[in-house]
Amino acid sequence: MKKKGMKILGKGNKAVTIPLTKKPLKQRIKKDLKKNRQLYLLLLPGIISLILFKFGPLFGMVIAFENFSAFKGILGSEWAGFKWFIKIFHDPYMLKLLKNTIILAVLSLVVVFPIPIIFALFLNEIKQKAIHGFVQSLSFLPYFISSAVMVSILFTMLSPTNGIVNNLIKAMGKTAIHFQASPAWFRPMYVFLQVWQTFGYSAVIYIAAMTAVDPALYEAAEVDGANRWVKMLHITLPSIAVSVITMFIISVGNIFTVDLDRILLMYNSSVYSTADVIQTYVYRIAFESSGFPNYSYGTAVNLLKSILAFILVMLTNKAADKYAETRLF
Amino acid sequence: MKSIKKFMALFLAVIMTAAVFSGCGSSSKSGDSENSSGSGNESGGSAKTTDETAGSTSNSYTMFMRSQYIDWIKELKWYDAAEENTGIHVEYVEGPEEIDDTYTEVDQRIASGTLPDSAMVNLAQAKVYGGQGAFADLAPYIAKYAPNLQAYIDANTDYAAYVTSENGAIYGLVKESPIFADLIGYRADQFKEAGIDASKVKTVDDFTTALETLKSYYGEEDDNYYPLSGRDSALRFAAWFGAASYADANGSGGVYYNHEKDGSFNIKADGAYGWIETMKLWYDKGLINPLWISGTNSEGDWESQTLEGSASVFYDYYNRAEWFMENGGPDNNPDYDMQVLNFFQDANGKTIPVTTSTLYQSGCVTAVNSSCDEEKIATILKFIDYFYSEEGITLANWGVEGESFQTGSDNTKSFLADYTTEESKESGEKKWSFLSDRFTVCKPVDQTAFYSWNTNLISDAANKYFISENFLERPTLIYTTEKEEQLTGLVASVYEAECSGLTHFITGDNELNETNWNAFVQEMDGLGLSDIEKIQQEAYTDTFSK
Repeated sequence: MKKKGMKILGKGNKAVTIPLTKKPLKQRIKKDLKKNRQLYLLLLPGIISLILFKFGPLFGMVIAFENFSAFKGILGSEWAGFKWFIKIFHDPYMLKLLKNTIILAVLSLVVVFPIPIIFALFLNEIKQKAIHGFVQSLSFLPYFISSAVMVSILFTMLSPTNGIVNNLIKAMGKTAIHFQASPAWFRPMYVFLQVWQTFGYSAVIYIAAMTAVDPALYEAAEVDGANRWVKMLHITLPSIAVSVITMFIISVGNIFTVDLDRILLMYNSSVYSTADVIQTYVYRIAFESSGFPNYSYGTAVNLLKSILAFILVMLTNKAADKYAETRLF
Repeated sequence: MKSIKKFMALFLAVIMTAAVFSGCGSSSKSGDSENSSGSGNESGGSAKTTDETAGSTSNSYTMFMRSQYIDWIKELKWYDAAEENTGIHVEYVEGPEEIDDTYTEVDQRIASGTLPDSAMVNLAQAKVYGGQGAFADLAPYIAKYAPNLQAYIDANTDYAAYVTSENGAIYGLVKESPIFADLIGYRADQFKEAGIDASKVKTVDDFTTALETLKSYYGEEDDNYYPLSGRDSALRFAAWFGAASYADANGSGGVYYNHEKDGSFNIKADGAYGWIETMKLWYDKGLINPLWISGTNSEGDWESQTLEGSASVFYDYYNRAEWFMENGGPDNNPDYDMQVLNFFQDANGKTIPVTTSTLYQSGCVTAVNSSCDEEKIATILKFIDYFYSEEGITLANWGVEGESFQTGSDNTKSFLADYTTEESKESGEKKWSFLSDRFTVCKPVDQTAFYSWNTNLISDAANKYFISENFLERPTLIYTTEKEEQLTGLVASVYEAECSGLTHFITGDNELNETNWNAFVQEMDGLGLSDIEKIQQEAYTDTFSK
């Protein structure tokens, strides 16, 4: 049978036929595996790790539909159906928790998200490499300090008796503010800590994206008489748009994920009205020292939270695709 | 070159795969016996006939416990004597430092099958997991191997009802706890200097006046001076106003569950409004530390305030007055003199009863792994049984006669060992110590010994004030597993909301008036306070109708 394909001249001017039809998938995979077997071998541990520690534990979410017992295990615990989800909707406290969580998350997104971008844009304008590096390292530093230490530093500065901030307020003839006990101040303090701790780390991604911008674009803009602001807004910012949108979609996915450690360190009976969020409530239910821990209810609340976050990510991704012509997946 | 690359790829892949798998599985320490995790055995934990426990001999067993408790046990002379007398050795398996984490680790150990022969659990865990087969039903073995414990159970029907599950099994043994209340500690030297006669501070109004006097005397020089300070929650004065939570034959008010002593309040009580009104007055006049009111005054903050003179009065754990005397008070100021104030009286001159700890508590319960064989269970029970014998009770509460205590001609015991000398020994050093509020082994408490094992300041106050007339009735309620599950969820939302609302009234964030107060009570009912009260009332009826 004559092979179908395109004829070209090969070595010694002999005609060689290049097949135009693809080989069956099975054969191609086999060939690829054989050809790149060393690379696949190196990939194997990563895939095993992903399956064992990322996908495998997802199966554990089934306890949200069970009356879970650590002794009986996931497979042995009795099935409860949607009992815990129904309980969530009947829990009169859930509305307040949801409100607190969403306000905190939206504040984090609106305030925390743009700051690293602005910081990266300004940092990019510093041309002295030494200063650039120094400032970047300095901004990165708080990321490695634990939440406990950061909260402690903030509370020391804001102490109503001898904190530097209140000393200044008192010096101006005003009454000291008890920041730690004020429900109104809880959210600004939480957001401030998040900015303080993460902006340097988040900025690295944008700084990395900026290094890939073609210098010819800046040179051309300079020829056209563009100043720094114009270059920043019309060259740098659009050039890192893909990174910004990607990070935004990821941030939306984490919208219901507040920093539990930070909240537990910051909250007290005065600020419960604004500080009590879904995670702290789940923590109280699952890890209360008395009674039998209700892991199933805690998981149901978290599962519901994850589903909502997933829907938000999908919508944001779709919106990004439609309006900015870029998307995460 | 190609073969080196091949070898490297293979080598790296193997190393990385091994690293991945190293995170899997669990290794039980030697001496741990594994339970039959995941079997779902509903039979209720009958012991196996073959020896499946490893690492512990017939005269020893392993026990999982909070690490701090193990450290305390290792220091106790009487405990060593008990092991010697019984010939039984307990190999302790260290748990986390925090008690909540310890119970969480019990869950993890049950799930992973790494629970030792016995474990410190809470009663709900013992009953639920016991019913599912994780813990052995001790009832038949107690009858067989622990005559003293059996006699104790027979004599104390409330204990029997508390530890027995709905199916008649006993999956966990509850220890006795000493009964005590908080005491008011005050700086006698500062009272004297400010011209206050402590013996005339008899009512809450007198107390407020004393705080005002202290504030005007010391507050002028020190902006941060607040006469009354403390740690954790400041919502601890409700009983003085007849507003403590309760459960009795007439009903139930407030969150009584887990708040029998600390944080006990009932916002529907007649005196609740007056209680918050008084605390607001203290707050507005700077008589109480605002950091404490807001819940941001740490234990360390309070201690330094009280040691340095920025606070003069507290209402805290019964032996705290002594703690300040022993931990730097007189060292920094030779005049430093911490004393205990008398219990307050009402307008009729009657002592106001306060909340106390309960004799039986749901924490620190001893449960036995169902995978233990009968011999092992017998060993565990024989060891515990010793502490219910006359000899064991004396040893654990008084020590050894002639060494740590003596018996007088009227047959009363008194300590020979000096409290201050013994308790101030370096950590890790062997000592006589009889602080029965700490968990060591499941045992009964000799209340007289507990009160006596203090300095004169505290033992005198305890013997004077810790009498039943001064205590509110604090019954131990028995909840079904289902009801306890409901309570845990309800309390998680209601109690924090109550604390928050009351704090806002005190600080003025929410104006304290009848309308707002009634709205607050209604809001709490809407969150589930009335449901909590109903469950508690039902539990009371069920407990005492048996």
